Amino acid sequence: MNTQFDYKRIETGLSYLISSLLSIAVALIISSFILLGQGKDPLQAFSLIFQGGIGDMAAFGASLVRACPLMLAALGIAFAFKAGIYNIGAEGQIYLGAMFATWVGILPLGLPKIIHLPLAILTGMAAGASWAFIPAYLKVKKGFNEVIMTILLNYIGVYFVNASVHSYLQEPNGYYPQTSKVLETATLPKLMANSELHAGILLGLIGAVILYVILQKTDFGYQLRCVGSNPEASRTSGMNAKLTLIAAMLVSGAFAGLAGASEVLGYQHLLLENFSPNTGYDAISVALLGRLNPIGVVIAAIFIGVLRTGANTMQIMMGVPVTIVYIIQAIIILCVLAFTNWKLDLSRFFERGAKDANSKLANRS
Amino acid sequence: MQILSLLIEADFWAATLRLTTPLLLAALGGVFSERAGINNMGLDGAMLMGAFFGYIGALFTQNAFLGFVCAAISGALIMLLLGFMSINVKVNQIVTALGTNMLALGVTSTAFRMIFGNDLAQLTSPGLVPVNFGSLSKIPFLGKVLFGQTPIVYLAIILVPISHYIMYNTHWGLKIRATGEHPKAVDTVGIDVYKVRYVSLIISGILCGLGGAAVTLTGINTFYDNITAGRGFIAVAAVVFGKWSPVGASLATLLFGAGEAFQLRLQGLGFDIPYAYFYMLPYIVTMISLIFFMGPSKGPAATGQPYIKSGSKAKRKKVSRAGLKPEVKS
Repeated sequence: MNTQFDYKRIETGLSYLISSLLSIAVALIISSFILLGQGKDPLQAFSLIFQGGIGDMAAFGASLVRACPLMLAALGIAFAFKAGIYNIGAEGQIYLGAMFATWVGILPLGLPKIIHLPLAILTGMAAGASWAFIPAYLKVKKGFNEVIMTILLNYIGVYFVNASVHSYLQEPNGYYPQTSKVLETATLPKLMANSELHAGILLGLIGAVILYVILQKTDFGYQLRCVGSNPEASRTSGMNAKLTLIAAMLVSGAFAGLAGASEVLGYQHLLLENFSPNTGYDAISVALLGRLNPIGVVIAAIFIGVLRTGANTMQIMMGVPVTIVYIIQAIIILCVLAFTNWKLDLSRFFERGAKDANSKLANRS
Repeated sequence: MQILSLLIEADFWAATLRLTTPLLLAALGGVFSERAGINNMGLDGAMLMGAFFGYIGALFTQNAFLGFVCAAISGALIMLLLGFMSINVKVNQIVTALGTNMLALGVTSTAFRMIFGNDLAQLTSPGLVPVNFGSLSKIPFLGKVLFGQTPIVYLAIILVPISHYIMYNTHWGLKIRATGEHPKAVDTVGIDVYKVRYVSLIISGILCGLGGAAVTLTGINTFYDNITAGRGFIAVAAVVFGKWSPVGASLATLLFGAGEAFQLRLQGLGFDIPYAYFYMLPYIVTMISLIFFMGPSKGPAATGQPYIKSGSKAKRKKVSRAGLKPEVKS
């Protein structure tokens, strides 16, 4: 095997890990100054976040429930970003996916679970993918900026779902703007007895492995990475960049749709107005924190899930506003970006070490 | 018919101008930064900062004008951070802007809770009051539309020709446009590309901050989480829609403002459909007009690309190393 290549991979992995940890450290330091300014003990705050997020199995289960939609949506976003298309539209795609999954889930089809559940999930994925197809088509065929289009489509999608929950999808004779409960045959199974943890997290893990294999081991993945890093060169070398971009966006939308579907079928069991605000935008930071790498995204999503769940505990116990998590998250993103650019160049460090050793040897002789 | 008659009401046009103002200010800011080569998705964060610090400033000084000053400063500060990340550190500008937007959301909502506690008691600050034009406001239609607005509306309108003049008729405007199109050429004639980009970003931040304060300090005079609700992104769309020119971008924001005023009026008519459809309207109007009436357009050539100075440290090092090292093998 090519050992040189493996070394390099370990090296980049290591430098990613170190810079991620450094970013988290910087974020924690800055936020402890904010906490100190408010007269709160930062150490107590962070230990409460830790206890509330990962302290026992029930807390960790709650964190994983939080992490699940973030993970699924971020996997899709990372895939699109890898291809060089900025899918900011996960928010709308999540809502559409959730709505259509719920719609199939509440239909009394009389199907067994083994058909009904996958049908609901696939419908949700298809809805997310179709919502992502609009900006992808507009970008590839007409040259419209995908960032603006996906943002506009987010608002349209969210309001569309909210309007549906208020009208034809509303539970019959119900008062609140919500759908009826998803049928037993369409819910995702629970994984733990005393927690809300559902099988959606397994979908996330399987999805991450599949995306990793696609990106690293298939021709399509190679093509996608080429198009992302140098569209002009890949076009001239005969790759179909346009098709690749559309495919990347469809996969991305499908994962966002899956995120919405699993949130409803696994956790909330019915669709509410604004059922999952800002998840699509948060997932972008998860994707970046995970360095657009499927395995990294899984770790980052769990980290953010723990942070969010733990911050609730902190708010209850100490009265520190939970929104401080946004500041921590933003600082982490900015630091991750900065550290990636000032590359922690371990290879040079190793090389220099080797050179020093060599020159010492040379001097001695 | 009832719907169409809305369009000739003076109230509708007055509301259109009022709702356009925040977008107009932010879009002008967007034009400045994009023309200098910074792909500015951070308008929304700067607006949010302006909305919050405008409110806080007005509340603590009990003076709406000082509120606007605070708003401008806070907008400029977050743009400086965006500038540092995209000009000096040279990271992807779209992604950085997402980071600064989230920072703005975190800072404003956390500071709001820290100042007012978790019960979110609503204190109203002093706000701008409509300018009194005396008998001018009694002119049948125009009086209500043009002569009953708050000062910030007039400031925004005046800024359109001023920005146009700066952009196309002054030395600075030329510098900004050239930096966005061909930074290399600008650098060669001895103009500091970084400085031009920083100055444009500060202008952009000030305008966005004012735009944000125009959301909070012209009527509601209070603040809640994410009050700007993505208006900054609409402003970005308007910049593209208006082909990166101050006048074009302003007209585009007018379209969106009219869409928003229209949906507010429609809600008042009491149709029996969910109100979310009305909220959707301005976004659909923007999207459809972008797709069908505008077509894709190309921005300034160097937008989104960090500029690496030819005299920068890294390069100099490389050059000197290549020059000084004696070549052993020929």
